[in-house]
Amino acid sequence: MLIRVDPSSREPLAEQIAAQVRGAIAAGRLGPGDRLAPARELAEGLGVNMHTVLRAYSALRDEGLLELRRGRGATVHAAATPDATRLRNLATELVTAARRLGMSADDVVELVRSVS
Amino acid sequence: METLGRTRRVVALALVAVPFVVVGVALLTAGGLPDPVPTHWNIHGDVNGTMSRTAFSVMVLVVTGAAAVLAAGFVWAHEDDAVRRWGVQACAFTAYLMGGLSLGTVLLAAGVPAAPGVRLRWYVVPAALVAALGAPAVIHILWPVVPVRKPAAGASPRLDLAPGERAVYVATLRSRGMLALGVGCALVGVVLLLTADLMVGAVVLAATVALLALSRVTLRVDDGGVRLGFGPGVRVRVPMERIERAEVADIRPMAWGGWGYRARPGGRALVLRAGPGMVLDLSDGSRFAVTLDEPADAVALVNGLVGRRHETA
Repeated sequence: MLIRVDPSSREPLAEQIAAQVRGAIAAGRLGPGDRLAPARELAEGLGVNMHTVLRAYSALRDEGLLELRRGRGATVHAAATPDATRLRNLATELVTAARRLGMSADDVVELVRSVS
Repeated sequence: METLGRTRRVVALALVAVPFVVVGVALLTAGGLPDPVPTHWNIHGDVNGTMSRTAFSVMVLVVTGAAAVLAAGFVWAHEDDAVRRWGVQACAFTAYLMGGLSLGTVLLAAGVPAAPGVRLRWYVVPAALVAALGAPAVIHILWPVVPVRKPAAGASPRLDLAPGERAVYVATLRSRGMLALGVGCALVGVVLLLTADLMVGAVVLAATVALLALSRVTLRVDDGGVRLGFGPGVRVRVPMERIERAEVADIRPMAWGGWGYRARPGGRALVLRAGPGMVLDLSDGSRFAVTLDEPADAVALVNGLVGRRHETA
């Protein structure tokens, strides 16, 4: 698993890490059941705090992409197929773009209803 | 050139077979060996160990014969010439030591009616040692010098990294074969500890630890270099400043000295199976290989880090 981060970017490091795991699942490079690299190895290699990596992993768990189990580390969730993940990534992009325009979540739901 | 090298290797293998032939002829022709045959003497030259004549003959012929067969096996199976020569030399040492000592025994004991009457002469052990060390030395001189054929360069992708960007590659290499061997070894070791020799059991359990450490290895590439982690605490590092280039390669275990973690004159390798892997060219001319299911990302990252290092230096 290859992870790159740019410390000079405005995007938080944890979000940069999470985005790449999301991308790997969406592209099918990581599939359901695959194990992710131990957080300690990633943190040491990137020169970041281990909690930063763990924060990225728990965010992905909250999105339903990863399973975190004590002693077994992080694995890709059985339901995290490339298609489902790509769709989720599109939704995230939509919400981010809407926020930039000052729209609320309800506004976005309204928007989606209007186009479907 | 190739045939000359072949002839030299055949002569070296024939040298390893000499003790088997000589001792075999000695056992057949030396009439009147006592039964049992003396096999051990104390410091004063008196017999304090014996073996039945049949057991002695079988043991001597099996050890010297197995050494000759094993030497041929090394040349046949291994692709690395240094490993072949080393294997043949080790077999020669064993064959000449065993052959020399037993030839001495046969010559001293021939015609003596009973084992206690056989006196050990002072020169037997030194002569066997000289033969055991001399044979590998002769093989060293005899062994053909083959120019190392540089393998065709494999794919060498490179990741473009921005100046401040950080990147890491982590892969866990698992080997079911090593795990199965380790578990088998553990069972044998425990049985040996309980039923037989403590020493042998301990050696087998030590092998278990080594095999289990090889069943799960963590590979990490970062700007410090390439690192292998075997179980808790054992690390092998290749610092980035020693790496010149990385490439994707097809790894044949016998070209790297076999399976496991191998260190040879030409380089080191972690070989858990045959197939794709990453090979690093190091600044001292040696190479470092590791089997890896999808080596492209790791190779690209090493090349990206090496390239950025050279550009900023």
